[in-house]
Amino acid sequence: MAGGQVTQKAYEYDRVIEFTQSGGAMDQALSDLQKSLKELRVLINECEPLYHGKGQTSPVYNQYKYLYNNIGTPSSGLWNQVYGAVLLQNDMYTNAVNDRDKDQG
Amino acid sequence: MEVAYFDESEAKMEKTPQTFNNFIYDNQTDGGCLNKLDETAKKINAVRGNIDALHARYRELMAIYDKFTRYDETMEKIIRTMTTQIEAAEKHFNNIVSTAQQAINEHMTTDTTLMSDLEQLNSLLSAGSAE
Repeated sequence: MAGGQVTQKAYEYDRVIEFTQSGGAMDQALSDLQKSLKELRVLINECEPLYHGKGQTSPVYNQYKYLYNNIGTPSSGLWNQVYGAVLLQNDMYTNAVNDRDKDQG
Repeated sequence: MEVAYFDESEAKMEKTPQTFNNFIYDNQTDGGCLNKLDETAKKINAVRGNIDALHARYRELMAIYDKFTRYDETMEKIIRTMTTQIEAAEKHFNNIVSTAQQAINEHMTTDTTLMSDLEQLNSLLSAGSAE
């Protein structure tokens, strides 16, 4: 074949960009999860004054503590996994954009 | 490039229980602790549903790539760990409900009006274990 080089996309990066961009399907799913996690934390917070034990040695105090630990922070629990998913989404988006730009010269 | 939504302030918020100097089981306040526990049980299920939905989106996304990527493995690990965490959260929530049951059982000898509360707490635990 004379002239030019035939290139083939390794994957449909346009679709990956659409999926991972702000407001895309993956972003929406992760946002929904974060919204629910916040609502769960607020509900537990509201439960505490209505049902609690005496002091920090009561069994119910410890269960609240474990529950909060499961919700966690960017370095622990569910929020840690959410943070990992956010980093992954950013990475996939960035790579797809770079691949598109490379392809388009 | 950062495109993903991340609620950093909520994520970083310190999450520790409040300390009280007395025992309270409040079924008098409007709504009371039973309603709040019921809402919490539903929210735990909602989080579980959100994790399932995220997993489904991941699978759709992976189908776009025509070869194995390192993303696949990472995503599955994230979902597995999320599932483990929400299951543990549910277990601890059920333990909270169980401690309420025990407390009511102890008070039942002097206050039989708590019988309906006990039934509602039982149904909360049954709903959780049925899933």
